[in-house]
Amino acid sequence: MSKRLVKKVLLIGWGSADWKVIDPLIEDNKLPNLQKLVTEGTKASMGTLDPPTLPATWNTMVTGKIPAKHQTTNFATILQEQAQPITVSSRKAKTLWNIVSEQGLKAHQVGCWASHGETNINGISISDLYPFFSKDNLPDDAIFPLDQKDNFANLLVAPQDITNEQLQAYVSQKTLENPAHQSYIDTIKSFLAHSHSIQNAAVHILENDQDWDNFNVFFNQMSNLTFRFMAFHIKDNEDVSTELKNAFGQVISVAYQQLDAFLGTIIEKAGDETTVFLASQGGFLPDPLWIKKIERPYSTWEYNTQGILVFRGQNASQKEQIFTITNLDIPPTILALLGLPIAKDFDGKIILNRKFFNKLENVVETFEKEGNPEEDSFKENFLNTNLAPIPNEILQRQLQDLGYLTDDLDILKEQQQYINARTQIATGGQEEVIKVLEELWIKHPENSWYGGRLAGCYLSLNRPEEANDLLNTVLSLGEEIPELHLLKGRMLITEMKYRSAVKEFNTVEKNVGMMPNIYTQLAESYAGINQWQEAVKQYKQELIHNPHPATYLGLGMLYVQNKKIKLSIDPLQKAVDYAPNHPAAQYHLGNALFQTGDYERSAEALEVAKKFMPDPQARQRIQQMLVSIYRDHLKKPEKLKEMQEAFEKSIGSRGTITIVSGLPRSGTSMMMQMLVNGGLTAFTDGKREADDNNKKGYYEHEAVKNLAKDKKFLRDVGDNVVKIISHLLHHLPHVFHYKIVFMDRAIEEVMTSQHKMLGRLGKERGEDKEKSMKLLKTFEDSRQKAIKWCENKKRFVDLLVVPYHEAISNPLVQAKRVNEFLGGTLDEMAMAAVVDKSLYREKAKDIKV
Amino acid sequence: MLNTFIFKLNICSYIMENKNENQTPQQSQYQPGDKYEIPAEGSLGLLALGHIGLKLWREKRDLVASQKKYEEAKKNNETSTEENTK
Repeated sequence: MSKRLVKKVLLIGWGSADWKVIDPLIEDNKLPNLQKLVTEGTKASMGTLDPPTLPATWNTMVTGKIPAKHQTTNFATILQEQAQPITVSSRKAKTLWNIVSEQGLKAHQVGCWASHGETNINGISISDLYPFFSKDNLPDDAIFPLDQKDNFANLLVAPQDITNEQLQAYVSQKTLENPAHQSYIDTIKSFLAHSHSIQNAAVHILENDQDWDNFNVFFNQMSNLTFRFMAFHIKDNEDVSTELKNAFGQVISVAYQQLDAFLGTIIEKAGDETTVFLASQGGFLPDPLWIKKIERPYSTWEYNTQGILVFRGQNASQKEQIFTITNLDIPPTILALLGLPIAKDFDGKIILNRKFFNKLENVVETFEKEGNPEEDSFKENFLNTNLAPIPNEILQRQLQDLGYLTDDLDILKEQQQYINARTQIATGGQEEVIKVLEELWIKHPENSWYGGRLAGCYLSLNRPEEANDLLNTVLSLGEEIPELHLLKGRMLITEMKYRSAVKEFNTVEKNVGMMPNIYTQLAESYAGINQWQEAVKQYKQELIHNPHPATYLGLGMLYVQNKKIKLSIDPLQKAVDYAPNHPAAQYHLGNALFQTGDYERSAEALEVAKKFMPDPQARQRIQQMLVSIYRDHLKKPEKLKEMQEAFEKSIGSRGTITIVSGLPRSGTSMMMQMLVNGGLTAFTDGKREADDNNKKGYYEHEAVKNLAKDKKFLRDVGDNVVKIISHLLHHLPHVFHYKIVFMDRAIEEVMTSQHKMLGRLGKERGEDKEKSMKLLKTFEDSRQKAIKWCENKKRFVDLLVVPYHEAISNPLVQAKRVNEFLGGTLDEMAMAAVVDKSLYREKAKDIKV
Repeated sequence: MLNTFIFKLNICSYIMENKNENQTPQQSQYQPGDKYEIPAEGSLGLLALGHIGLKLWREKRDLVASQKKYEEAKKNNETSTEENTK
């Protein structure tokens, strides 16, 4: 088991919460508990995956799997030709609380989408449908374990329980009395009743059980309220009447204050030692342009907007802001904090500082047991067809404020087809969904989204003419969807019709609003046609709405490319302010400062870049720049000395690796086999199996082939022996010490053997012996270069050259030499026994060149 | 009497009152040990306390309702006594 880093982890969900709404409220001191959390913890914007429907995004957040895997993407399910709310039967992957429970810890969950019918939990589960029932009709499937049902039934608050006094916090008495406003008032009542029921259940569990490990609570109804009232929250929104803005302009702010008060109680009850995650599945932009788009008929949750994340605990950095987080990252992070295993089939990453997880050893293939359903109690969840039918009224109440139609089964089915198609598109399944989208488009030629997605599929399947024709038809509908105009503009660029492309881009610009990433895409498009000033303008627009280090870096690099080095410094500085550990941003900042003669700041940036740069060649370039700065400009010999000392100290600091090397076909596999027989273990993935060319196996690992680019696997070699072909040796980093057994075989033999092997494999060069022999010099050069490299790197390389013919003719002598070289712990007799003289087929003396 | 609630919580020292004199909602800060008057009509802040607040509110509401019922009955009783006396 990995080290447990925290005692308890609490995850709180706020439906559709968005920093663009929350930040101003924090500034006005209206959200004191959240403010405290943000000040003490780490803040982030959380990316979402497509499709961004509420069930999909929430379930991505609690399973750590992409929507195509958990398959909980639709708002409703159809059972026996009747629309039903989604339940645990709809989810095809384990949730955080399923996994925590299976690992023997205790978890509770309250109110997550599709949690109705949950049984696989070592704790209490309160279904998301719980608040929609009353004390008298609460079904058994809403509460687990069932013996708790009466306790929680008593904690339900119904919309009719909400008093005028409570509503007056949201709206005036005059508004309450206006019959025309009743539908809005009902939504507020529903939000209050729902949220209070969830809060009551959560606090009840926290009060009665101090002994949990993971607690999850979700306030979904905030999404419904947001969808209904955000338009009135925007003061300068001209799309809604002043009367409605006056009546309901406070609703969103008060609801956040309400959630903030809930938050205070929950954190207090959870205790000081608890690590807290507050998250939303995605955001909701306070932007009239955006709201108009999602209110448009046939708009089916088209837009990915960023949600919120705040993380407070001993492993969070105070007041830090982090980027590039998605919903997928929450489960692996929480499991790692609890010291539980991480599954390889998680699609997210651990978001904490790498220093906490450098030695993350507890990794399992998967938590799903697809091969053995009978062994997996969780399967009962989604094979559970015994859930009691849920009255249609519940589904209506769940979805009525979200603009999702459930009355018409045909429309519901079409929407499900469309959302399923998007789920597949997100994983590269364009080919599979073309037919479905074509049928939907033929049936609904007025639906820009169906046509737009279909055009995108045509394009990604390299059918540009069909894409172009369809896109023209969709654009003629006049819905001004910015993404589609952007696509059209880019297609026009490929046809070198720049003026027409710019016209499309102008339409995009008018329709973007606060939508993330579109201005950046515009900037990149303008940069592509050398309109760099226009590109700068677009980057700046993006930064107004969505400040992000990648955008600052993009702008800085645009200036660099256009030789505006001085102008590049400010955005590059901003990029590193936001992302201090970003090696590329620090490198480019250091470079720009170097060029403008600000050597002190340049050295500072380059030092950070060197520390975090994963690419050793880039690190070497940075090292050279730093030497130049300290030696030629800042005249700091002590810094040069320090660098030299650090380098000396790092040599071989990460342990010793045993390597078998040599040219291909020089007996490296034989030596690997000798060492394995002698007692070592081979570092191999077993992918390349024995064949006629290497009858006893190859002992290779795929990762080795990529040594030039990725050296991470070296950390995993440990005490094993790894085979690395001679021409890759010079990519070995100096931080390890290497003991290299180098198999040396006459080049003519190597070439003949190689030629015959290719012939046996039916490869081209096998037919042409002369061609193979022409490479003789190249091979000889490669051999000499490798041996020379080893000899030049004596500080971290020990080399033993083993002549192949000697290993064949005197295996015991060579086994003894190798054993002595590697420390004398191997079984020499066993090593020598491996040698099979019959496989020595290409002897130099028999070869005529 | 179920009229007040003594604050014990540290972090939830902010409780949202329904409105201030300008008819806008506000949060008031309470310290541990402060007394909070429980309104019969309930308040959002009280409900933020979860089931504890719900229980207090329901008890206060029931108490006020039964007091009201008692007073009405008493009044009716007095009226009928007066009428009988007449």
